[in-house]
Amino acid sequence: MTRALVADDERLMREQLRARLAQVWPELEIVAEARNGAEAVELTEQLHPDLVFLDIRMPGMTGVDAARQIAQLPTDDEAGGWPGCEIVFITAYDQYAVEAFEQGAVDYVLKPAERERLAVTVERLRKRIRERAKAGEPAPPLSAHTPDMQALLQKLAAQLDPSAAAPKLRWIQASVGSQIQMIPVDDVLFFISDEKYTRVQTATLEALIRKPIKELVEELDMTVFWQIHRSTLVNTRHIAAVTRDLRGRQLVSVKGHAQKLEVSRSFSGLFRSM
Amino acid sequence: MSATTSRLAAAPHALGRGAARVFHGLRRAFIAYARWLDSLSWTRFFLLAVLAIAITGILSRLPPFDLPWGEDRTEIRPPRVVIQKNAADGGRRERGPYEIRIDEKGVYIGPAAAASAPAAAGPAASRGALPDAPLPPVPPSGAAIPPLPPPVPVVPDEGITIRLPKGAASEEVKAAVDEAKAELEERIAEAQAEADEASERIGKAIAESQRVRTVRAFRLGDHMVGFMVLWVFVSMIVKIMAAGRFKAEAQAVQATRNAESEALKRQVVEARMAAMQAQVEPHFLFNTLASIDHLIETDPGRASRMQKNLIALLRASMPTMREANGALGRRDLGRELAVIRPYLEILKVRMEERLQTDVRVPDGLLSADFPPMMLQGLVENAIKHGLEPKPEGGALTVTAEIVHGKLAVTVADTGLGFGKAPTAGTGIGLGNIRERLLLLYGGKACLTVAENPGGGTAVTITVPYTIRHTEGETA
Repeated sequence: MTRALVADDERLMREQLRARLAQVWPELEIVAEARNGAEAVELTEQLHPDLVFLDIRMPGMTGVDAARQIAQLPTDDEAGGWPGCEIVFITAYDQYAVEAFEQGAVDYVLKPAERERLAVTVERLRKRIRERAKAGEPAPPLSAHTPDMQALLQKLAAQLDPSAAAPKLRWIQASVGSQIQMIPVDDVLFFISDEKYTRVQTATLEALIRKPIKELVEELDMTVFWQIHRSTLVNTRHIAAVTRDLRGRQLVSVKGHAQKLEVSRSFSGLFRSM
Repeated sequence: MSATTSRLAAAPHALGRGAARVFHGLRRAFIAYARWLDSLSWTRFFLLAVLAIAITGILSRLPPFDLPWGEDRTEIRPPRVVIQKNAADGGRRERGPYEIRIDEKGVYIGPAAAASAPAAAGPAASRGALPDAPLPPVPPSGAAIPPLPPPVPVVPDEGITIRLPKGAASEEVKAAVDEAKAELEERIAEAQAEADEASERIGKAIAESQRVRTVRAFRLGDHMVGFMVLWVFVSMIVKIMAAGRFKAEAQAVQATRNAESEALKRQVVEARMAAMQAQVEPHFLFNTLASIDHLIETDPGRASRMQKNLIALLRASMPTMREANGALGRRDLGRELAVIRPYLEILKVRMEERLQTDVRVPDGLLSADFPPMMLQGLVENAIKHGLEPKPEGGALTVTAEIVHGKLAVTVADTGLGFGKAPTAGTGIGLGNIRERLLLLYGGKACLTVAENPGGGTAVTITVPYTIRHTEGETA
């Protein structure tokens, strides 16, 4: 049984979506309704739904921001085996978002949801969830975890709230010993979170910064840095190869450093041969 | 009361302020006069100048200008010129008989009675006496006349006495004395004539210096013509200096006025467009339509009401040619409320418990003049930046009241607070409203943004309170 969460600030809209979904996808269970972005993130973390319907314009936190936070939630073993969720956006109008969704193959629902149109979206979602359920094969990545999606969400978030659009990080300022090192972002091989710090690894040095991965995701160019694990960002320009260990886990080896980086299951769809 | 206190406070400066006010008044008067001069043609200017001088001439002889300020006075001034030289010349006539004494020491010529002061009279007498006869005693060696015995009066008449020494009464001496006497007499007569002439001159001079002066009392009329001529002359200079300047100024003022009116028209159209965009914003419209779509299935009655509200809102928001070109559109408060009510109704249906609205406007104020499209702007701002981004929503209150004779309309919300919303606007909406208030009312209207006591924002528009009289236009 597929479980879903619906987030919209207007009750009528939530009711409508629930009613329409019941018609085209009777076996879908709506486990919760959220009235804003923050609630959506919170309920997703608690209830681990397979699908989250997010309205883009919501008070407090927009649907786009909520989606980015949901993508950073702990998954897999850390979350009782929850592989993460698919995200579907709801919008009444946001033309630029719709265009972006079309290009980035992101699922979305237009308000008022038409049955035929909704049925197409539902079919795609069901197919993807079925594939993911198959054990053994590398599953397609969750939509929210693809670098394309992350870059797209970054762009949309900036469009929705231009004032909050942080400029792309170009330098990592890290304290090494008693001095501050300026590390060009391009030189960074990977970021890996290490309890309360984030380790910055380059070919020559290793430094610790306080900025968590969650924030780095918002400030780095996500077409260059891929998130392969909730705690790992890797610079795709320095990836040497992706191997598979005995347990079937994917491991990323990086040029210039011996450490192999684990790809978590929900991100495993990133590396599939073309 | 505030006026009184300010006056009290300003008491020490009253003098300075008074002077400043007088100065300003003068300045304004001067500018007005110069402007008037500039507007005259030169022909008219000269005609007026001649006329003004003529009228002044006539007026100066009429009361009240010819009334004396005080009495006319006749003044006799004492002679100031004392001509001592002439007086001495003239005074000689009064001198006593002269005496010519010839003794062993020499010849003396002097006043008979004033023998004690021969030296003092000497220089004066010498003018009229023989210039070639040495007055000081002639040294004996060079004496032409031998020493004489004690003097004997020879010729007692004519005031000339010639004393000769005794025993010197020879014929020669006698002849010489006669000759000298004749000569002296001749000289005396000459001197006499001269003295007469001088005395005549002196008399004339004295008469001149003792002329009787009549001092007229001050009369306004005496100087009016002169001043008028000066005034005309100064005016001419001012006219030359001001030539054309005021005309250009007037044109500039007219141009500014036109520009302002144009700006106002543009502002109103822009505001209407902005309002259009806000309400008929695709997002708003599609969300509303989606809600109606859902309500049709679940609650047709509500769906119908919501649709009617949407229609009312669209109708009110559509710019009409008449309004855009009309008299810079002032509408009454009732009409403005008629626009925001459907907007709020729609939002209430959509936002449900997240939005409470309260419109508290006394019926008596519905006919009050209020500029269009402003209230809507404030309500939209309150929703968009105050209540919509706030997860738990809040209340929106619209109130209107008369404060100190002005109409104050307040839109208060219990939203996030001014400038705190992530969707915070750029302030263009408020700036636009301020600009339009300034254009419509000058400094008599204002827009204030304050913190709502219950949290959130309260924005007040204050405009002069007037009631719309032309019922036909509002209909």
